[in-house]
Amino acid sequence: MTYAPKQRLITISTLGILIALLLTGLTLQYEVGLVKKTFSEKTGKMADELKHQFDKINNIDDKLSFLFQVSDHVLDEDFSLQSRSIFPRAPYIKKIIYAPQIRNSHIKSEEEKLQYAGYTGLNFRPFLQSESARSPFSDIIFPVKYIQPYTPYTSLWFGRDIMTYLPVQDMLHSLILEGKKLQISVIKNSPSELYLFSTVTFLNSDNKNNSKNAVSTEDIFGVLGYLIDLNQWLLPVIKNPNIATIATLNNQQFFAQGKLSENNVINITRTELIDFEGQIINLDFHLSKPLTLIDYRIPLLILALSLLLTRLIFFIEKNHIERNKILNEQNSYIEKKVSEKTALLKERTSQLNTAYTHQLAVTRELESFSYSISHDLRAPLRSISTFSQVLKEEYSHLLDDEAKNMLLRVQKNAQRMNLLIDDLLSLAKVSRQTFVYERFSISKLANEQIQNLIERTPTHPFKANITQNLSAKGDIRLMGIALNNLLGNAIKYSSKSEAPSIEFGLTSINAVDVYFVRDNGVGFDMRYADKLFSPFQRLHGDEFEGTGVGLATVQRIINRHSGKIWAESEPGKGTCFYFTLGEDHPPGVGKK
Amino acid sequence: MKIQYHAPARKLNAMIRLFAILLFTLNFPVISANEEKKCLLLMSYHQGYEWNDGIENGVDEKLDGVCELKKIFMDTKRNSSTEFGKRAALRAKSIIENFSPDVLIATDDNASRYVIKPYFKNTGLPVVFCGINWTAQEYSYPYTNATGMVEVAPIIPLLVNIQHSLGNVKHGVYLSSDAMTEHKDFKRYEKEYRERGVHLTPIFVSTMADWKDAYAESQSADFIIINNKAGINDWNSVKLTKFVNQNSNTLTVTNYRWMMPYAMLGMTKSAREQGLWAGEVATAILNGLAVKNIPITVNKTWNLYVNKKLLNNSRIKLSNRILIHAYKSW
Repeated sequence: MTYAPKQRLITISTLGILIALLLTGLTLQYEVGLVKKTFSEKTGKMADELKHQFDKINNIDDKLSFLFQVSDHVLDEDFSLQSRSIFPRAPYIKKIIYAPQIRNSHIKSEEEKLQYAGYTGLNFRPFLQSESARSPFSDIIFPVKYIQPYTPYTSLWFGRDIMTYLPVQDMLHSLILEGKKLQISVIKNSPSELYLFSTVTFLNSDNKNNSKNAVSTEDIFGVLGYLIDLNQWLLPVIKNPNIATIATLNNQQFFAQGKLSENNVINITRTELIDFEGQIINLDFHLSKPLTLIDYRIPLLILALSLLLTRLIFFIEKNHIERNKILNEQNSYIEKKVSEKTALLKERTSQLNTAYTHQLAVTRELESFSYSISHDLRAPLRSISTFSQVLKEEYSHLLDDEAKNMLLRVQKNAQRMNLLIDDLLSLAKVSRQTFVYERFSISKLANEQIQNLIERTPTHPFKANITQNLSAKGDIRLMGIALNNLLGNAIKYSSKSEAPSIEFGLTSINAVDVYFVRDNGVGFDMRYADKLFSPFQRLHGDEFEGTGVGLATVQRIINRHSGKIWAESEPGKGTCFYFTLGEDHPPGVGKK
Repeated sequence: MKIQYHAPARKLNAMIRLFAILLFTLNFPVISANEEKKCLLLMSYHQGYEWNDGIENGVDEKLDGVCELKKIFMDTKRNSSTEFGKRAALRAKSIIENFSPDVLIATDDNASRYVIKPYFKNTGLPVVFCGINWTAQEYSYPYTNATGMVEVAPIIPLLVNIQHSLGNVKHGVYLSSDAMTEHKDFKRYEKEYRERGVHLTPIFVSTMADWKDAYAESQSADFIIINNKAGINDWNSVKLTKFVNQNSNTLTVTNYRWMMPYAMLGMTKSAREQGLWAGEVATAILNGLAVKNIPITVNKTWNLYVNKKLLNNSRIKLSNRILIHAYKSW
């Protein structure tokens, strides 16, 4: 089913946008999921760390409790040593106190002991009014006797009954009466601190945490207290600026860090409950950092890329459609032109064929005519030669000198006519002969032609310098005729030299192989070079024998070899004929 | 449009400016005086006296940059008569009243005895005392306006260290000069040691020869407490150092730094701690903490010394805990 181009474009756009939105939605979902996962991991880690912190405090408390469990008279030095080893490990513990149980009946003697030890004027007393509450115990007190670090501010607690302290009151029930080990107490008006109190009992550790077994006051021989700096305790754990945290204990908020973002499109929260000795601390984590464009960058990038891709495809398709249209138009035009040209070509081809056929016919006719004429001309020539010879032989005694001379001239002209007919036939044959293209030894051919010339036409002695081992490609029979003519001319026209010499060889002109036939004969004026290869043109007249067809024949042969032939000469200094075989020939040669 | 001031107006302007500058300059001392607090350090002894210097250094450290600090040295160590003390007290009182400090620090007993108790008890001037021996009751402390640190010897910590080195000990000797202070000290030692099951035999001597004899006799005890020599006028440190190095077979301990040549183990009080505490309390008072709420406390820091030479010459081995924590070798 094919769609029209416009429909196709609409479909591509629609599909592209839908896919873009889908991908964006999926990516967004993934990104948000990733944020949630990261948030969950981080908050989970924070919660674990806090649980670990609680465990740490438990351990610290166990060790300190043990100190007081094993000895009735714990030296201040030992408490100090133990506490000072705790502070570096738990920098959030700002203060440690211990308040042993003292029965009312022993209060006076204990006070006296302290005073005797140097604490002049010290009396056990309740806390200052602003922080005080009535102790639930009437027969026992828990005066603070150990404090670390001991400063003017912490010393205010020395000798004060911890059971009258408000924050202790808040969790007294579970701390004392249910025997809970560690209890958190939030300090009002002091949002960055809270207290942890612990009972030091005679009971074993199993029973300590068993809320079902209430502990009697006799079993509690002291209360340990820890002032916790929340900034040092929670903040190092909940330190992620992008996560707001609220911690509550018994619905009372005691810690808040970070700000809830109002601009959050996606609300990411998590609640962790930490059970601390039966008290549930609620940690609410909120992703406070609003998701900004940077968080949406990948979905936006996907959207942008998808839309871009859609646009690109749309553009390509549109381009394609337009190009097709143009191509079609061009095709039609081309086809039309091609048809026209083809028709013209056909017509011209037909004309050429006709002309060729006609020409062939004419050529054949001419050749036939030439052959016939030459052949027909030979008969009368033979008669002329024969009868002139008979006259010379049988009737010369009857002829005077002039008549004898005339008879001699008839014979010579007849011979010459014969030669002319031979040469013409030869010229005609060159065009007709089938071209056989092969490699052959041109040096050997040249030698053979010289031998033929010497044997056929005994002539003057001459020196022949034929370069050996030269090869060429072409028709060996036609080249034999050409060399016969060239070498024959060289011998002929050097006959009048003192030391006639001819030369055949190969040279290179402009990187093209060029064969040459050189003689040191009479030479010719280069002004007449253009007539050299025209039939019947004889530059030296009757000075030398010849029909004037030889060079025309040579040219025709060289032409059939797709070569070029030219000559260089100077009167009295000899002539050199150059020729090439094949299409390569030096530029500018053969020009008039 | 440029405003042209008439000549009289210009003059008035200049006068107003000058007046404002004068006003500011004149008030400047008032402003600065109001901002900077004043502290006064009343020292019983003299500068150069080691104990005194220790306290002074502690106070200086804590009050540096906190307030303007003025010091009075009563010099009652070198002039121990009551008359001198009273005269020095009067001079000090005058200075105090003139200086009008925001807080007063009184170091050692004589400052409290001669100055604070008679003239500044329960007044509006906050007082921080330190260096008072054993109890501040003698001076009727605490006052509504006074608190501080009492100086006590580490009786029990010393025993703990003895027990760490020797295990369960039963009998010790308390060797001291025959002075009233030392007798008082012995009572405290004896009471605490008795409560812990250790019998302490006192030997009080007045001469070096007696001291040597007592030392030799005491070698059969589990340990010997070498107390103060003050009062033994023929004390020869060279001879006695040599003597103890040649005749020590039992653990010797002391609470006095200057007795370390003659003892293997020393736990001494820190003068600096007294000064630091006094300075801290003074700062807290300047920052608004009510004096009456701050309980009187005692010193808690001890310098731990070991005399390695003496130990090497005896068969005594101290516990690793002591050797590790020892402040320095004597």
